[in-house]
Amino acid sequence: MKKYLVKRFLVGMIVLLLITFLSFLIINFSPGDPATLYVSSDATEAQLEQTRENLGLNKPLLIRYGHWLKNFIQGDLGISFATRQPVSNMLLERVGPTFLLMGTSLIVAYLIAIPLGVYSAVKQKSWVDYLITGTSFLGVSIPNFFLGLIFIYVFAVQLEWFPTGGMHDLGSEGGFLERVHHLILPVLVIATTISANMIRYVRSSMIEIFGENYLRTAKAKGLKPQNIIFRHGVRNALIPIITIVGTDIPKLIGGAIVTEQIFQWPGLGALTISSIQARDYNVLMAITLLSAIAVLFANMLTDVFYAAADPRIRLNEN
Amino acid sequence: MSSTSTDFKLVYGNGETFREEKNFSGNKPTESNRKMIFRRFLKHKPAVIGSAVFIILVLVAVLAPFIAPFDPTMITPDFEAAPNAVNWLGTDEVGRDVFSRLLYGSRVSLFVGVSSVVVYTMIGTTLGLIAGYFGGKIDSVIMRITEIFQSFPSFMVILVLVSIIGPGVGTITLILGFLNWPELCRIVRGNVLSIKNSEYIQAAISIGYSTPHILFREILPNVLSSIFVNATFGVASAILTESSLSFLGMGIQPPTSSWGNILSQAQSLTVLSTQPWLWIPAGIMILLAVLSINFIGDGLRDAFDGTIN
Repeated sequence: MKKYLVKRFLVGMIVLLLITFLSFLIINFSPGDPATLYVSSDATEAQLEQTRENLGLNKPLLIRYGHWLKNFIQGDLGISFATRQPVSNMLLERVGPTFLLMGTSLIVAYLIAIPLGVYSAVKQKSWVDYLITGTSFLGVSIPNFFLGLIFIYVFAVQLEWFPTGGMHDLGSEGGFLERVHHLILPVLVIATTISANMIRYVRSSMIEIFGENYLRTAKAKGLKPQNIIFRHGVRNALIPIITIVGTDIPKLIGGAIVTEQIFQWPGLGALTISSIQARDYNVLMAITLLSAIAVLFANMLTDVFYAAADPRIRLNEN
Repeated sequence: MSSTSTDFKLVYGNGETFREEKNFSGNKPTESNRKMIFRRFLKHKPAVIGSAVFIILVLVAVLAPFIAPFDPTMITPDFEAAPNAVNWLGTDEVGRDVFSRLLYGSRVSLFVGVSSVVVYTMIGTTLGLIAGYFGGKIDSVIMRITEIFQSFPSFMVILVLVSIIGPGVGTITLILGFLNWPELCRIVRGNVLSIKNSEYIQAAISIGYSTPHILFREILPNVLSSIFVNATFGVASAILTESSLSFLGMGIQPPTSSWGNILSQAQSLTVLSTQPWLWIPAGIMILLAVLSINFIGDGLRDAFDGTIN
């Protein structure tokens, strides 16, 4: 197990290094001259050239990469083209709302998907199963922005149950209940998309386990059905489902961008869109890079967890 | 003509689905086998309905110039009109006929969906075959590259690249094509790993067939079913991505119409709440297209799996 962990970690670090290099290349080839950020707008070409020299922008690519990586590790992500503020400060302001939105959505998605998926598998080929699988197909196929617009139209505009967007009411600091009130619609949009996909995994994972010998043994021993389903079935079915979280996080981020934009949620997703509109590549790449790192670590964690939960994996590795 | 007697098992590990197969017949599906797949597909009712809807959408896209009542880019002084006898779904903010734009929008959405998948299927299949067949260093290099591609949240990278290169039908098709191959690559690799040690491949090697012949003529036909299923779902997801990009204003740019950019008007709360005819039909078109393709993919998967039992 220790050997596996070390190996997994080393491979992860190599991938991480390549990711940073790729990000650097993309920033490097994007339009916009970073030197203009450090001088007044009426600077002459000579002053610009001097600034480039001072910042080391004329040095070879690899040296600039080294310099950039050193700054990155120290938390210096450069300066925003649009606001001229340090990128790291801009990101710090936005991380909280995004984590709140994504974390809540993920939990809600699990709470919906696991019971429905298990029920669907237990009552295979019943009308409830068809209803659940049919609805999950619909949930996978509906664009999340369309779902978001429908929710706003029905629940915010027509029924006026929820606000149309934002994190709290205008001119208010926002108490806990107010925040929950604003959180419900965007969370439902993201959770619907994720759980629709997850239900199908839970269902097929459960059905596969029903065919395993140990479940047949459990049945033959005369265990109660709920014991068979929960203690022997669900527990084993959940292992592969954990890995889906790892693969779902990139989708979660993509979904959060669109959803934050629709609901004017002040998180990283909305910042992404406004940075794109302002061609603010430094901010964009910082967000992309951080989300790539988050995905990488989530994948490493799921792999490690998977190996811990299922001995067959780590034995195969050696 | 040999018949296949195979034993497939679905394994879910690391989020990928692959098959373990035993007892291969070395040839591509025989005629009777193909008929059997087709028969099983026809038994899958959602897939049949999905195929019908999809065929209608393709016809609409191809025949758009003949059935659209107006030029989709024609600007008229009669803007923001409610649905009426002339403009069935009203007109948009510059007076273009929404119904005509909807019909023409199917061209862009289907084109981007299908052609980006063609691009990534070629990349993913080739890399997956090479990684799985040669193994060792080549395999680990390709697998690390896939891991890097899969670490970047693809939607975010697409947004960044589009904003650097500039939006457009061609750009988006290529970007989607070059970014989305890793999943297919892993599936193909897994498939190749499970069959490369089978007897018929050993036989092909000992006869002295060239490596490309073994890869593309002996192994590929046995991986095709997985590729078809993945590509079908890929078209659905490419259509979703294109529509999200266009919705955010980073995809297909007006005056060219796509379902996504028709919906983008609904980002204004006034349009959203007072002119539902402007955005609901386009949303339903996307939903219909994606749902029908997903049903076809599900039907194909069942049909291919069914031949095994």
